Amino acid sequence: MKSSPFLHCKDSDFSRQIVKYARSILVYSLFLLVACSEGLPPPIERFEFETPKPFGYVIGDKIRHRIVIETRSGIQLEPTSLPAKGDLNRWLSIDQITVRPASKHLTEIQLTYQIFYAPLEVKMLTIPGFKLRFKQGDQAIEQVVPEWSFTVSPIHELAVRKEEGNTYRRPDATPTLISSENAWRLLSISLASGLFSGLFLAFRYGYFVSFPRRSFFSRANSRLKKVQPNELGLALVIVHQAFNQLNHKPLFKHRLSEFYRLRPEFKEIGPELEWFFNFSNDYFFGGNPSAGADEWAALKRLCQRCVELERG
Amino acid sequence: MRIIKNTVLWVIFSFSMLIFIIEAWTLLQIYNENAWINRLLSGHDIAIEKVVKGSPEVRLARAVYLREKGRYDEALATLNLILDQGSPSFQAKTRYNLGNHYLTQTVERAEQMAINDALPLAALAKQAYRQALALDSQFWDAKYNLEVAMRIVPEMDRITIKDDAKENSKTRLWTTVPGFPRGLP
Repeated sequence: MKSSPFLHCKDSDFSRQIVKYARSILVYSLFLLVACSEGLPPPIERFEFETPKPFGYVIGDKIRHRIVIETRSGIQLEPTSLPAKGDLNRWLSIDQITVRPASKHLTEIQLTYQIFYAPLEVKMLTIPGFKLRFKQGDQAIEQVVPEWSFTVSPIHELAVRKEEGNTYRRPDATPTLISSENAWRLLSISLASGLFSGLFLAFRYGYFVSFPRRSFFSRANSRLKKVQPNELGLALVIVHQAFNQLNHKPLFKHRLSEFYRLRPEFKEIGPELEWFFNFSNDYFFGGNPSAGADEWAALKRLCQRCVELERG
Repeated sequence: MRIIKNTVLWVIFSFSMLIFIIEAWTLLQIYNENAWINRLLSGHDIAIEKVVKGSPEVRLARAVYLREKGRYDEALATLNLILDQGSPSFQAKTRYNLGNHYLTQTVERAEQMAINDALPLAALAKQAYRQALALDSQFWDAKYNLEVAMRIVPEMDRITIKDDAKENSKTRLWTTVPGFPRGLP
C-alpha cells in the first residue's frame, strides 16, 4: 500500500517544527543555565599562598607559610584536611598549625615547618602540597595548596675532622647566671611601698612631732605630760595655743561655730570644747584658780581626742 | 573611718614587708647559686647538698663539670633530672648538652669500631639535638652538631656494610637514622 504524498509532506513539516521548537527550548535552557551559573560566586573566592624566600636555609630552620582563603557563605573548612602536627617525613616536621577565622568568610592558616636536612652541598628540597577540603552540606570542595621548593645549605664542611682536637663539634652549653633583675624590682617596689605606708602610719600616729602642718595637738600633748598638777594655768595655755595655731588666729568660745566650719571634724567633740572654754574662762577670769583630778583628766582626754582628730 | 584607714595602711605595710623579706632571701639565694655556678664552671666541685637544693642552672653547671672530668654516667643522670625544667631556652640547652654527651660517646665507640653500640647513640644524639632545635630554632651550636652527627652516621653505615654482612642485618634496624645515599642527611 502506498502512502499519500500529501500526508507524508504534512508529517515531515510537523516533525521539522517539533525539532525547531526543541532546539529553541534547548538554546534557551542553555542560556538560562549559563546566566544562572555566572550569577553565583565561586565557592572559593580568594586563595592566597604566602611563602618566604626560597633559599638560604640551614638545618633546624623554621619556614612559615600563610594561606588566606575567602569562601562563599556556608562553606566550612574540614580541619582533618590540614596536615597533622609532627613529622611529615624524616627531614621535615610541622612545628605549628594555626587556623584563625579572620572574618565570617575569611580563614587564615599559618603553617610552621622545621627542616632537619643535612645536605652535603646546596640542595633543593620540596615541601609537599596538600588538598584543603571544604564542605557545604553534602557537597565537598577541594583547594590544592601547591608544593613549595627551596634550597638548603650545609653549615659544616664535608669531612668531620677530629684530629684538630674537639673542634669537630661545638662545646657544651653553659648555664647563664641566674638573673636577679626581677628580684631587685620586687624588692625595690616592696621597699618603697613599705617605706611609704610606714611613714604614713608614723605620721598618723603622731610620731613626727616637728611636722609643721598637723601636729599642734601632738606637741601640746607632749608638753602636757611634762606639766605638774599645780600648773593648771600653763596646761590651759598650752591647749589654747594649739587651738589658736590650728585656727590660724586666736579662738574664743563665741567663734566656735566659725571654727567648726573650717574644721568640721571637731564638731564631734563640741560638748568637750564647750566645757574647755567655760572651764578656762572660770579659771582665768572667774576667780576659781583651783582644779581637781577630774578636770585634769578631762583636759588630758580632750587633748588626746584633739590629737586623734588632727591625725584624721 | 580612721580605723579603716589605719587597717588598710597596716595591711599594705605588712604585705610590703613580707614581700621585702621574701625577695631579700631570693636575692641572697641567687647570689649564692651564681657563685656555685661560677665555681663549677671554673672546674671546682661543690657540695652535693648545694646541688640538690639548687636551681636547674646549678645542676646544668654540675653536668658540664662532670662531663669535663670524664664522669659521663653522673653527667647523664644529672641532665636527665633537669630535662623538663626551666624555660624553653634552658631546656634547649639541656637537650643540646645531652646530645653532646651521646655524640662524644658515639665518636668514642666508632673509634673502637663498636659500630653497633655507636649507631643507637648517634640516633639518641640526633634526637636530642632535634628536640633542642624544636625548642630554639636559632640555636646555632645545636644546628652545627646535628649536622656533624648526621655526617658521622653514613660513614659508619658504609663501614658496617663493607666489613660484616652479619652485623649489617642488625644495623638495618637503625636505618630510620637518616644518612644514605649520598646527599641525604
